[in-house]
Amino acid sequence: MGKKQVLRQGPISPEFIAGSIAKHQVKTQIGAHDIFLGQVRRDEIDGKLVDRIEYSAYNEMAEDIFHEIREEAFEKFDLVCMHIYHSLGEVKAGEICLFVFASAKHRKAVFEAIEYLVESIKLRVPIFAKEILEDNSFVWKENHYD
Amino acid sequence: MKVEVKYYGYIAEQLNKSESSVEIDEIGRNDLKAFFEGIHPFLKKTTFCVAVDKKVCNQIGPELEVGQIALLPPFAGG
Repeated sequence: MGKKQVLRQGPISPEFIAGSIAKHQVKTQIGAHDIFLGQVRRDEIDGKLVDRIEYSAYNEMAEDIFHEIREEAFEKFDLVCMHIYHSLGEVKAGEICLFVFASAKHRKAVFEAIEYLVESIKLRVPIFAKEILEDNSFVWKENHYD
Repeated sequence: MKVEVKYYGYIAEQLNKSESSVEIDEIGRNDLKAFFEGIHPFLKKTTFCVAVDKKVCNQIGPELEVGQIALLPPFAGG
């Protein structure tokens, strides 16, 4: 299977997500979709609110790892199709930065696949995030794993 | 051996550069993290990993020709 481009400049719009869902109406062997949407949170850090996140990545490695994760998910779960999109550049609080969309004949495969995909992305893909606060100061974000 | 090294996120910001060419000696090849901490002491106080040709790895085998090394701060995707 060829490599799909995952990283995209800017936020992922609700219209893009709706369009992606609509495209699957012709794939009538699918009986279950599951979607994960990551949204930029307006956290409060040292009394200041997060205005936006600026994402950067080691693009070539990130795309390789996204490809590996996709291949693993297709092997582990009985999926019909899967799409992953992640933002680069600025994404404002409240906007979507990650869209993961898994489709299968039945629900169990997509529930399990989405969790596997999202956890793997957070753990393994070299994406970096600068949280820019309302006064334009910033902090580097770091994923935490339970 | 001389290797192209790329820097990302917090590390690039601290060094004020996104890449450089670095001569890595035999000892450095066996423990890349310690090697780069020696060059850039601030790395000792931060969490980072090394990628060799786009794979997370802390050493370069004697037979390996290396195209690119990257210093990666903690991941924050999603």
